[in-house]
Amino acid sequence: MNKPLKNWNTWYILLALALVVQIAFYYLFTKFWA
Amino acid sequence: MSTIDWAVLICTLVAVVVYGVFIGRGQKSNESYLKADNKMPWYIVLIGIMATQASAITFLSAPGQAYTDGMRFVQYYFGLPLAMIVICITFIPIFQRLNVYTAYEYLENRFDKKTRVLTSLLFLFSRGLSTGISIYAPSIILSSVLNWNIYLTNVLTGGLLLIYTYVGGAKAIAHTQKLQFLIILGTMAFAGYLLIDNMPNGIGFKDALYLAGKSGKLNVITTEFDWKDKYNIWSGLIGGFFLALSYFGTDQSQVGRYITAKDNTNAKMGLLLNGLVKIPMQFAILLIGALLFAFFSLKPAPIYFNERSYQHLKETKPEQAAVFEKEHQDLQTKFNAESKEILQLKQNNSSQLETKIQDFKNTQSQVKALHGRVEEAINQSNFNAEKTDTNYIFLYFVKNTLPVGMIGLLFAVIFLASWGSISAALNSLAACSLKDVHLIFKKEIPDDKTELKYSRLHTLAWGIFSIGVAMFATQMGSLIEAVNVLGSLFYGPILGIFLVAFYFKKINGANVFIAAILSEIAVIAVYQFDIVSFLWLNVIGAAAVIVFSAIGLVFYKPKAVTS
Repeated sequence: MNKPLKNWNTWYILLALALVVQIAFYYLFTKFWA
Repeated sequence: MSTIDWAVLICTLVAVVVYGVFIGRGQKSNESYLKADNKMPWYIVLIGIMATQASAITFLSAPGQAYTDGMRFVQYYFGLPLAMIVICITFIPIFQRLNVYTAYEYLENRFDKKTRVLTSLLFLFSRGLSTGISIYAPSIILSSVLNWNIYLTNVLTGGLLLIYTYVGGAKAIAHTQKLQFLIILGTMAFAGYLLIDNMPNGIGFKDALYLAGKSGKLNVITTEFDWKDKYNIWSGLIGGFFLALSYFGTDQSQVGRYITAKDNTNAKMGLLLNGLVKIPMQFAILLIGALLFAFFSLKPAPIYFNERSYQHLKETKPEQAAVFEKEHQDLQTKFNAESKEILQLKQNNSSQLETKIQDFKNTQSQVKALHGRVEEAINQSNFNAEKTDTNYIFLYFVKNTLPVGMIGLLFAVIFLASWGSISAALNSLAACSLKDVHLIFKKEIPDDKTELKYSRLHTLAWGIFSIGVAMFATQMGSLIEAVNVLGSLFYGPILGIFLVAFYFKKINGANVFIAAILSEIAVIAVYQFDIVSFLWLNVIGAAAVIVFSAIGLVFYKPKAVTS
């Protein structure tokens, strides 16, 4: 696997993690204000 | 509107048109006209993608959606970041390597000419009609609120952008989208600030959130699964993923934005950042709607936000309207008082708070029931214009609360948001009708100058066609909703064709062509029988093409496979 591809994979994983963090935040937001 | 608002509106619109013509002048080749010479940096790609997706209805409808149904609409976008990743891995490298003008060009390379033309025609049909509706939808609202002639508003919404789109092509579109999006975001953020600022004395952001939360408007995540429910976390993640994959990966209006990028890296960065910022942006717009609910819990709300529709009811059925108004007056006074009382009890940590919240919720249900009866009465009256009021809630606040100057700017935002998506759609329609249909049946390949001339003529023709659709839309009535779901009917099979092309190398053109037609029939049947919510149609359509193509392999094995 070459270096640029490795770098892109890191960004893909970070974006997926950001989605998980956001969903967790929105879940807590919903529970908190309900 | 005041003279200052008129001046702000006209100056903003003229400035954008002049800027577009100026920056897009001197087009010399078709590559420059349709692909901006592949010179766009990542941030222009990012803004282009976002401005193309966000139409005027996004900024008008989303706050109204949150006001009536809460913020759960945001879940619709949960599959988007995952789709961005798949597009970066699979779609972009292929489109960039083949240096395509349209996404469908790749299908000729992978399958055959007829699959390319069929897919492009499906796109042209659905996008052509929906662009007309994209002109009509904000025009009907603007004409209603500002009392303008609907036909003139259609011409203004669809005609002014045609000037810079015709002259400057992809480059003018990219740069005007940048300007438009900055104005839109800045104005919306300021409108959000003014919303909090205009709350009654002593009531701040937290109090407004508290009221919105107790009214059930901050329901961002809903985990209950229902096939017919449009917005829950499951339909958002799975259905939203397939919808975003179809839209960003196979819809030329989006593909046409990121193929203008300098290189693979800039295209990928634009898409990945779109995956990062889209959900928070949508969350912020929906939050404005939830806060609007808190605002109208504390201050008098009208009986119906679509004032023109209600006026018609008042004129045709005055006795019924009088009964509604009396009930509304009583309920509204009670609701406003209870809202204030809740905040007071909360501040004092009173034990009566829970009881009062229950009373507040009961009154809210009564207000909702009355609204439903008013809506039903308006629907039954013979009124030939938009009857619902979701799209009018934010505008009612704008018109009645915002200061002079901001009102004109907000109306300009509606035009600019429309222009961003319509201009990209016209450019993509022209690219497809020229490259995938017109030139494909031409024996001689024209020189670059002639091709540029053709591109401009196609842009002009699609512009006139879309304005024509918008003009007819007034007479279409309930057909408009059918046109709105057209995208969902075609996206699934189009995505299926691309997925087969990318991942199923044994399947050839003949198989996928028949599979696509059968899948289209299947999707229309599922839609007709109202089995599932529209988000699932994309999943069904894409899966059907793959399954039918695979079954086709049993009966017809290709002699040779191209890749």
